[in-house]
Amino acid sequence: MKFHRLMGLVLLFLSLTALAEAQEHPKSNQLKQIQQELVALKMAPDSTQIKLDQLRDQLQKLQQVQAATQQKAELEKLLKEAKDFAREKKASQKTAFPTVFFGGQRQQQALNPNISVTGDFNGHFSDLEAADNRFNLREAEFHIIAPLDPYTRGKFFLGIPGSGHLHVGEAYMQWLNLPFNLQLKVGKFRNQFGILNRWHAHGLPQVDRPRVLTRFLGEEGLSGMGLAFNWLLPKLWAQVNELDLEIISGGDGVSFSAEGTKNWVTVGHFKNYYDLTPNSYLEFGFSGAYGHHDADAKLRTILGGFDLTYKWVPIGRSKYRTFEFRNELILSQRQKPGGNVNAFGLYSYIENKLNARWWAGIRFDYSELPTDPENHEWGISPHLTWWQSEFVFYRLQLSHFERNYGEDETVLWFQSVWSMGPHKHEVY
Amino acid sequence: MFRKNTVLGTVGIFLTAILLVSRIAFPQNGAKVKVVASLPDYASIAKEIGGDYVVVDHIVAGNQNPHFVPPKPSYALKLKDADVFISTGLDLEMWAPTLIDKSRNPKIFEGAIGYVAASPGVKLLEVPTTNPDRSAGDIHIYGNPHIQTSPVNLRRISENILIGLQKVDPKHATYYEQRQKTYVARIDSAMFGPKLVHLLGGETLARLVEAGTLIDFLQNKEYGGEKLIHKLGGWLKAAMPFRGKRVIAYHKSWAYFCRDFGLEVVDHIEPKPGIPPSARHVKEVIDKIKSQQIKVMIVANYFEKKTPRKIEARTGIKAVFLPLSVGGVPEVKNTFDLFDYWIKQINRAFEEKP
Repeated sequence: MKFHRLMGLVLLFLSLTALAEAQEHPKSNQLKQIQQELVALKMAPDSTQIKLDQLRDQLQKLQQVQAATQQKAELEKLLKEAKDFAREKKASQKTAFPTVFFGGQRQQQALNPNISVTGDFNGHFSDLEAADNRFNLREAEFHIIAPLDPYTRGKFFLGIPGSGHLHVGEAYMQWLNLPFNLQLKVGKFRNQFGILNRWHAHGLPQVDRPRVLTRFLGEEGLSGMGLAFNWLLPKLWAQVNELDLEIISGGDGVSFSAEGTKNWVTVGHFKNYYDLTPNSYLEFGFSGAYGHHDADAKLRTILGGFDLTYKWVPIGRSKYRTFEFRNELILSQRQKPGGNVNAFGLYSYIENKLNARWWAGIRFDYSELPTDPENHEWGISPHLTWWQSEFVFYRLQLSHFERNYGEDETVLWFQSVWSMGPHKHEVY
Repeated sequence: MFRKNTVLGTVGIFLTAILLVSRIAFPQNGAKVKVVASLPDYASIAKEIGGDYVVVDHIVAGNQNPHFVPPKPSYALKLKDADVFISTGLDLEMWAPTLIDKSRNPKIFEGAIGYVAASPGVKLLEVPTTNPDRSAGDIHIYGNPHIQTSPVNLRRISENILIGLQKVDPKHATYYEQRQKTYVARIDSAMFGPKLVHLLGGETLARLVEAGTLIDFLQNKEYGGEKLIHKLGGWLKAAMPFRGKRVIAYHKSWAYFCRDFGLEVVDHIEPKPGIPPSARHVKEVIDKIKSQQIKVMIVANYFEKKTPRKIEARTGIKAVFLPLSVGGVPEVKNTFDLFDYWIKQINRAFEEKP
C-alpha cells in the first residue's frame, strides 16, 4: 500500500514537473511550492491522505487552467481564420498610371426625374364609306415624375399624337399631406368626373373611350387648369370615403366651353369603397360638374354622374385571374335660350383575365346626344387583349354601333401599347 | 355674379364640412406603436421585437405575389394612421409609393421617421453589373429583392426594424433592443445549432454564410480535436441532405435560400423574370431536367401550377409548392415556421422516389 502511494506521489510529482516545464505560467511559484511539498512527502512517506488529496485538487485546477488557455488560443486562431474565410478578396487598386480625380459637379443625372415614354398605336377600319380608315399613332406620351422638394411632387405628361402637335396632357404639382387629410393639385389635370375620364388613353380597358364619355365630355375628356382638392373623409358608412372638389378654367368643348374668359368648371366626386372579401371590392361614386357651354358663360351645363365598380382579384392568383365589372351613367342638363335639354348615357363593361397573358371583355354603350336627346346610339364592343409582357400589349376590338340619326357602323380596331421606363399605372 | 356666388358657396360648404368633421379625422394615438409592413415576414419580425408595445399589420398575404398588389384605398387607409411602415426598400413593392402617397401620412414618407427599409445591410445578390434594361424581363435594378428567404438576412432586417421602432418610440428603446437580441439569438441557434453559435458567435457564422464559405470552413477546421462540421446543428444541418443538389425554380425567388443552404438552381420556368413561360422554353427546361437528372423543382405557391405539373408529368421531377412568406400556408405562423417548413418539404421531395 505504501509502495503504491509512493508511486502515486512520484507520478504526481512528474506530472507537475512536466506541467511546469510545458508552460511559462505565472503560477510557477505555486508549482515550485507543490514540488517542495512533494519532496517533503517523499522524505516522509507516512504523510496523510488529506495532504495527497489537496495536491490532487491543485493539480486538477492547474490542468483546467492550462486547457482553458489552450482552448482560448485555439479559438482565437479559429475566429481569425473564420474572418479570413469570410473576407472578400479586394482587387488591388494599384495601377501603372497616376491617380486621376474627377468632380461630381457637372454630372447630376442622378437628380433627373423618372422619365417614361408610352406609345399608343392603333388601326381603325370602319364600314362607313366616309370613314378615315388608317393606322394611327394616337399618342406618344412622355411621363416625367419627380419629387419637387420635401413637400410636393411634380408630374408632367406631354403628348405627341401622330399628327405631330405637341400638347401638355397634364402638368401639375401636388401636396400629398396637407392638414385634415387633404391633398391638393395645382396645374393642368384631367378631372375626377366618374372613373375613366381621369385615365389616359393608353390605360383604358378598351381601345376607345365609351361613347357616353366622348359625347358628354369630348373626345379627349374633361380637363383644365386649376385646383383639385382630394379629401380622405373620416369613417362614414363605407370603408373608405373620399371627396374630390376641383375648379378649373377650361373645358371639354362639348358640355363646357373651353373658350372665352369666364369658362370656369366646378367638378366634384364622392367615392364610397368597400372591401367585400380579401379578394373583391365594390366601389360606387357620385359625380357632379357645373359650368357653361358658351363662350360668354351665359348658358349653363349641369352634369350628374354615377359610377359602380365590382372587382375580383384573387389573392395568390392575381397574375392569372381578375374579373372587373364597371358602369358609369351620366345625366346632362344643358341650358338653352328658352329652356333646358336633358340627356343621358351610360356604359357597362366586363373584363375577365383568363390567364397570365389573355384578357377578354365586352362593353355596352348607350348615349343620347347632349344637344338633342331624341338622337341616340347604342353599341356593343367585344375585345381581346394579349399581354406580351407587363410593358407591351396588343388588343383586337370589334365595335358595332346603331344610331337613329345616321348610319349604323361596324369598326374593327387593332391596338398596340408599349411603355419604356419606370411608368406604372396606379389603378387598383 | 351668380357664377361667383356658386363657386364661393361650393368652396365654403367644403371648408365648413372639413372643420365639422376634423375632430373625427384625427383619432387619438393609442399607447401602442402601429406598425404596418408590406410583407408578413417583416410583420412577424416586428412582432418579435415590438412585443407588448406594438400592434402589427401587413398588406401582402403570405400566398400572394408581392410584385402585383393593387393599391386599393383600404390599404392606404391601413397606412393612414401607421407610426411605422416597413417595406423592402428595393424595387419589389412597386405599388408601395402609390399607397404612401394616398395615405397622406407624413410619418411614413420615404426618409421620414416612421419609414423603414428592411434591406440596408443585406448583402444583395444578382446586382446588375451593367445598365439594366427590360430586355432582361422585369429586372430588379438593385439586385434580388426576395431577401426574406435567408435566415442571415433576417438578422440584418431585424436590425433595421429595431432602428425604426427605437426612433418612433425611444421610451422603450432598451426593451426593443433586448427583444431584437433575443430574436437574433434564436435565429442563430435555429440556423447553426447552439454549439457552433456558442463557439464562434452568430455574427461570424453569418458572415461566413454571406461569403458562401461556411461549410467549407467547418469541414476543414477543427476545434478540440473534432471537425467543426460535427458541431453544426439547426436548419443548416437539417438541410445537409440536399446541399449541393441541383433544382429548377419557377422565378428568381430563392436566390438567398439557395446561397445559404447550398442548392443550385440550374434553370427557371420563367424564361426571364416576369415573362410567362413559352412552349419552347418549357421544352428546353424539360430537356435540361432529363439530361441533368434533376429531381426537384421549387415553386412559390402563388404561381400557376399547370406548367410545373406538365413538366412533372413529362420528366418525373418532383414539384414542391412552397409559401414564399409567413402565412402562405396555415401552419407557417412566423419566420421560424417558414424555414422549418421549407427544409422539411425540400428534404421530403428529394427523399421521394419518382
